[in-house]
Amino acid sequence: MKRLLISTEFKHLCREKVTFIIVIFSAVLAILAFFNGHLFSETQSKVVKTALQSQQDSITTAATQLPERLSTTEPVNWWQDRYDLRAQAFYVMLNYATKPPLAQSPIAIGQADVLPYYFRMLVQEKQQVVQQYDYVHPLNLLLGQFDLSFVLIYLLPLLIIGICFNALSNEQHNGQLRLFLLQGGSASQLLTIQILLRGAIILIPFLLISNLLFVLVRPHIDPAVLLSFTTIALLYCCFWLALCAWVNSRGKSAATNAAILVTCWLSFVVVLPALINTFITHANPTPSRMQYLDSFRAHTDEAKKAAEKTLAQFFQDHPELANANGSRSDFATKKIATISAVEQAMQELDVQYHQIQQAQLDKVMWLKYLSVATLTHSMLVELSGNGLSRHTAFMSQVQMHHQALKSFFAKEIVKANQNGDFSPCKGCNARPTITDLSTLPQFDKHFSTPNVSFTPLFWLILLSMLLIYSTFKNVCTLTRPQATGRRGGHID
Amino acid sequence: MHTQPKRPVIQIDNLVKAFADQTVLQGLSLTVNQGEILALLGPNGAGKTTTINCLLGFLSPDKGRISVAGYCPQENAALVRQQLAYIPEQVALYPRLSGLENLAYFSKVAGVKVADSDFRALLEIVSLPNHAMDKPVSGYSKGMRQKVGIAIALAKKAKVLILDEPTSGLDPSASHEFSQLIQRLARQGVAILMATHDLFRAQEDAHRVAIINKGQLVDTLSYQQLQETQLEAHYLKHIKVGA
Repeated sequence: MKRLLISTEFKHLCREKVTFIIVIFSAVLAILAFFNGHLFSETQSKVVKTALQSQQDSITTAATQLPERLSTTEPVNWWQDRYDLRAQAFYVMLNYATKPPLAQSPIAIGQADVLPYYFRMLVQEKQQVVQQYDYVHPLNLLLGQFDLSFVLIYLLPLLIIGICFNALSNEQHNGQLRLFLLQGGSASQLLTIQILLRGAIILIPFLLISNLLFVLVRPHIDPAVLLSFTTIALLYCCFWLALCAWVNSRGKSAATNAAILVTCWLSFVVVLPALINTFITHANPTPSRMQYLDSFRAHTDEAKKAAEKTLAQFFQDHPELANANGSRSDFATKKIATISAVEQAMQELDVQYHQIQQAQLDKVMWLKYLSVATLTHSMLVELSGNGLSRHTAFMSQVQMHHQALKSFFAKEIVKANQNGDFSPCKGCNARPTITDLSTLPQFDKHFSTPNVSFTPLFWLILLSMLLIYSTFKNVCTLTRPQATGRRGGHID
Repeated sequence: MHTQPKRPVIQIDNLVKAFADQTVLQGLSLTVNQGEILALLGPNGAGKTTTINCLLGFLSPDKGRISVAGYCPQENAALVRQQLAYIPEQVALYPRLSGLENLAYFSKVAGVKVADSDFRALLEIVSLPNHAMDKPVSGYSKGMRQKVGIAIALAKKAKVLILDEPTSGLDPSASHEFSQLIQRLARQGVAILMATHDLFRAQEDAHRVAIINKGQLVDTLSYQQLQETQLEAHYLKHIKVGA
């Protein structure tokens, strides 16, 4: 019986022109979305590669040109001298912290276009290096990228609705269901096969093409990631198929079903995420960026005005640098002292920002369960490596790297100053104080990325199961002899 | 021309069915015997279709007893449906499938196991033109659809055939062909209940006629009485009396 129903439903679908349009559309969407994500990631990869190459080139060039610099008698401006610690620290250093896109990045560009993925490190206040971007909470960042996740979350449900809105109800209202039931057929079996086959027509091309493109174009991708992507996509679409089955099982006309399903799509995919977004934004508003910048400028001015006091505080905080004849301090030491003072003064505001981010994140964690679209999208963005988890790990690594660079230069600059390397004699060039740039702290790009949590999938499964259970109950009611109701019964 | 009626296959006893606003069937009792064609006549709203829906198991009666081939349709729907075929005014086939495919599909759903060539033979029996068998049903006339409906009943070897306005909208030739087909089925022992407004076909084809009005049986005519009566005048007399 199942084989008969499948083959007949397949015949129906094959003879509908719209089926071919939908299959082609699904395939085209997969190709378009993949390449959109892939090209975006490639651009990021190139930028990261170029940055790292220029960093490597600067080390090589410095090593090659060192003899020339040592033998020169021409005057050299220290702020342009790559062999001067101060120039390296504040102006010419090519040292990058990078977050290269992962192989699975095209799944969901997500936040990758908003969050920074590389930093050129200099010894400056960290507020100028690693905190120069507005924080945007995750839901705000899930909107609008034409990538695989966008197609899956926004467009595939529409295609599913487009092809499934009249399953069973078509037969019910045209009379075939009556004949089918009188021939001893099972309405729930018919509905199940119709929904599954129609879903397969949309999902198979999408999944086949997207997985195939990943294997061909991004061969380094971990098969487990592709499996996770496929599982998430299947379960998300299962929810929509179950919803279609449930709506169809209620015995309304195809037009009513379409209206209900489109309303559901709008609610889950557009309205609920927007409502959650608005609620979070208003419950924990992000402080003004202007306020942050104003505070930063005020603290910088204050620290510069009180230069001597700042320097004294710096040596009090770093007694290891304040050894013999430490009283003689140059521009560079004062600058580093100022940077540390500003960072300390800004700490309170930084903590405040962090707390607000955390409060928003906590709300997102629970409220995303209200919409299957938000829930699935969050998982895909995290799976792609463009989510907040990997970014947080990256930013933490960047801060550590910034701190390492600052400590390195502070120590070396104070030492060089104490040695008199910056002004060996009146009017002569400073001595080269850093000759091997490879000794600079390098960014460790192998920062740990938290694993994606698949717990939300159980929620999707639960919702789908509830819908399926309710569908079978509805179908039983629909086909059972009616004691009351319309004169013709439910099966006209 | 007509075979003699045998044992009762459809039995309706004191059937009552009410909907929220009105009582549609008020103690209706009917019997259709094996090999008999019973024409069920009545004005619109008399309760013909409600009676059929109760027989098909789509409605539960409020009172009374129904038996189709020995089973109650509400309690043993699956068993009743094995024995029963139904042809409505518009035979609902899948428009994109051919007549042959529709026949094969609905027959296989009923568990009929025959070769595809036998399905073609069935369509030949019901006189569906050869050139039409493989064409989509969307291009079929109403008469051709009715023929496919009959072929589905034939394939199923149903013991009971229920027809709801089967000749409505058919041209005289198609209507004649249709009546020949159901008479052939009756000769094979199928009990046929035909709800119709077509008094001519009822007089021509039926072994008995039952006239209902406002959910009650108002008269029955035997085959002998049918031959001796002007059915139209008789029918109108009862309907006016009942009005």
